[in-house]
Amino acid sequence: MMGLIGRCKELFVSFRDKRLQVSRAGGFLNRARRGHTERMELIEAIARFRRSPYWEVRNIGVKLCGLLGENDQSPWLLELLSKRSDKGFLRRNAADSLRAIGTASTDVLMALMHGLEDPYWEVRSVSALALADLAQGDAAIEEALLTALAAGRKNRRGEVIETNFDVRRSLAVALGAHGSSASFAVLPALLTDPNWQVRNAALETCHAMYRRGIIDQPALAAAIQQVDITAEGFKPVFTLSATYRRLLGSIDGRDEPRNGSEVAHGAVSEGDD
Amino acid sequence: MFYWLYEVLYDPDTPFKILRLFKYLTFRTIYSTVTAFLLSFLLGPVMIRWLKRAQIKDESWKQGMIDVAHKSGTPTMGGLLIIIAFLIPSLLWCNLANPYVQVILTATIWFGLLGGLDDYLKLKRGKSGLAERYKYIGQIVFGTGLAITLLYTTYSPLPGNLAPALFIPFIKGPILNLGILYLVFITLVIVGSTNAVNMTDGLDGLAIVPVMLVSVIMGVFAYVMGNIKHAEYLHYAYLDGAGEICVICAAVAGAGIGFLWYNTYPAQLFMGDIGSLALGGVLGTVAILIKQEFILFLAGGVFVIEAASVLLQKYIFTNWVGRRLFMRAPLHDTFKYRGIAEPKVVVRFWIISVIFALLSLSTLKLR
Repeated sequence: MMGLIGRCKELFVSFRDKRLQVSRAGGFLNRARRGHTERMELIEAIARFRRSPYWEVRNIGVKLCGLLGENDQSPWLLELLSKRSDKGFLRRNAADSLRAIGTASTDVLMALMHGLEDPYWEVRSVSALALADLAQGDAAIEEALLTALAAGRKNRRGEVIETNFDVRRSLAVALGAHGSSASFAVLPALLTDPNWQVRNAALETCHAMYRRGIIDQPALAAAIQQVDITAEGFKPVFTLSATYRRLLGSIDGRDEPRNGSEVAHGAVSEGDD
Repeated sequence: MFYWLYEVLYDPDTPFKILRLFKYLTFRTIYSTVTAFLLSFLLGPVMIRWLKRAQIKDESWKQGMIDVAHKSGTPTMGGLLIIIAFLIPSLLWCNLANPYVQVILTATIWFGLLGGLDDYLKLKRGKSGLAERYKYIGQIVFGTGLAITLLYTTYSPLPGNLAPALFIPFIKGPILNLGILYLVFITLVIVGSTNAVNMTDGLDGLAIVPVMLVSVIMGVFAYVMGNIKHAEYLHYAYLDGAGEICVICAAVAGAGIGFLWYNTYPAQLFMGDIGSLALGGVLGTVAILIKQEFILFLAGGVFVIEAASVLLQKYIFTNWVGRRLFMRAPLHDTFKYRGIAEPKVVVRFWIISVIFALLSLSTLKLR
């Protein structure tokens, strides 16, 4: 009985300690996001957080690496990204921080391509977006993206495709940056995707490929003919709110959109998505 | 008040014989709905103007990748309108000497104050309102107090043998006597219903329609259980005076319709915690008083799903597993994240609520 009470006490103390550490680390992250921390402070905090026994604190350390934006932290992030036994959030944020650091070394690109095979969808999605940001027109990346897109379950149309819409959307974006004519061949599956956001990303991809000279105008025209343009979503335009923001922006000295459509676009960009 | 007028002034041989109308439950129920609707409809613009003047408005915030900045500046604490619009008709049309009515009105005020305090602190401090633990304490104190009142006091409107009994849909009699565990059970129902409505209140018009539907269903059950003939015919326990709950449920529905006028997409007024906690508390209390706690879960299936998604995501997956189960939680945010427009998500949740309401109504006969 005394042993059980002792064990419960230990658990309680450890739980309280964890909460305290996570809360302090979270507070530090918020201050850092508001720009209230010095660079040295950030580096010390990362070093401290990465040694923490609690994954939540290490996770905050990972986010701080992205905020700091220095390549010194990349080896740790690469290690985290490849460690599938660790928490999904750690891998996702490691990929995101690598994207924020912005160094397109072979190790980073390899790790991100490995991330495309991750069992957790957020890691796959963020890895694809990171690959789109960090490099352009890479054949090895294109192959990895196409493999990832085809590594799913059979859908209702009999196509074997990634099951998560968010990953499909990110892969479509990444194909826009890396895709060749081989990628263009798989685009019909994305252009007719059940989710409109994937179809939209696929359209953007077509446009990106056209700009990069991968496809010509007739091919682009033929591709966009396939798209179902009915969508379950829209972005609201609140005209009054847009005018208000435009005036507020001009008072604050920010750039002022010049015409109505730009004003509307300003409102849209802050809409829900 | 009108019921009291009937009791005091009614005389079949005088012109006051017209007051007999106030005796009829159905008459009072209908006019309670109409009064509540008119009040919330007419007071709505006044309330919106007042809230704007008092700077009681929603601040811009972002939930993950779901940006709701365009809702910033919308007046909040519109729940006050709902509370006023259903308290006044309740005071006008109910028999205020009825203990069921008194308990429900107490619940309204208790949870209204709790939610009001939360909203007030949010306005004062920014994003964070009343700490979660204090909200839970407030709910637990009420739940425990209600359980003690029902179990151990002479004030309890429930017959002694019925108070700790547990009824489930599709079964005629009680399945077990919970005894002291009833305290825990009631507290769970109160905490669950209050928070579930609160979690559901995340999109324009999303929470109020399921609240109205559940309220109507609870009203139907209260009417049946408070009427000796219907209760006998449908094999329910007869609860003397429970029919009066029907008048309050009708007032909630009426106030909800009026509120929806302003809360539908794009909302001119948000309910705030003052409304969601009060409505959740009232529904939970009504379900407990008429011994239909499981019907509350069934009729309020949308609330259960929304609350379950938050509990699973926040307390199990995010904290323990270290990944998401749903793309976003509460569940309505997952659909928004998938790119489905807000009005579409809301209407689809309403449709699901109607189905849940019909299912729960079918249990009246399927037993």
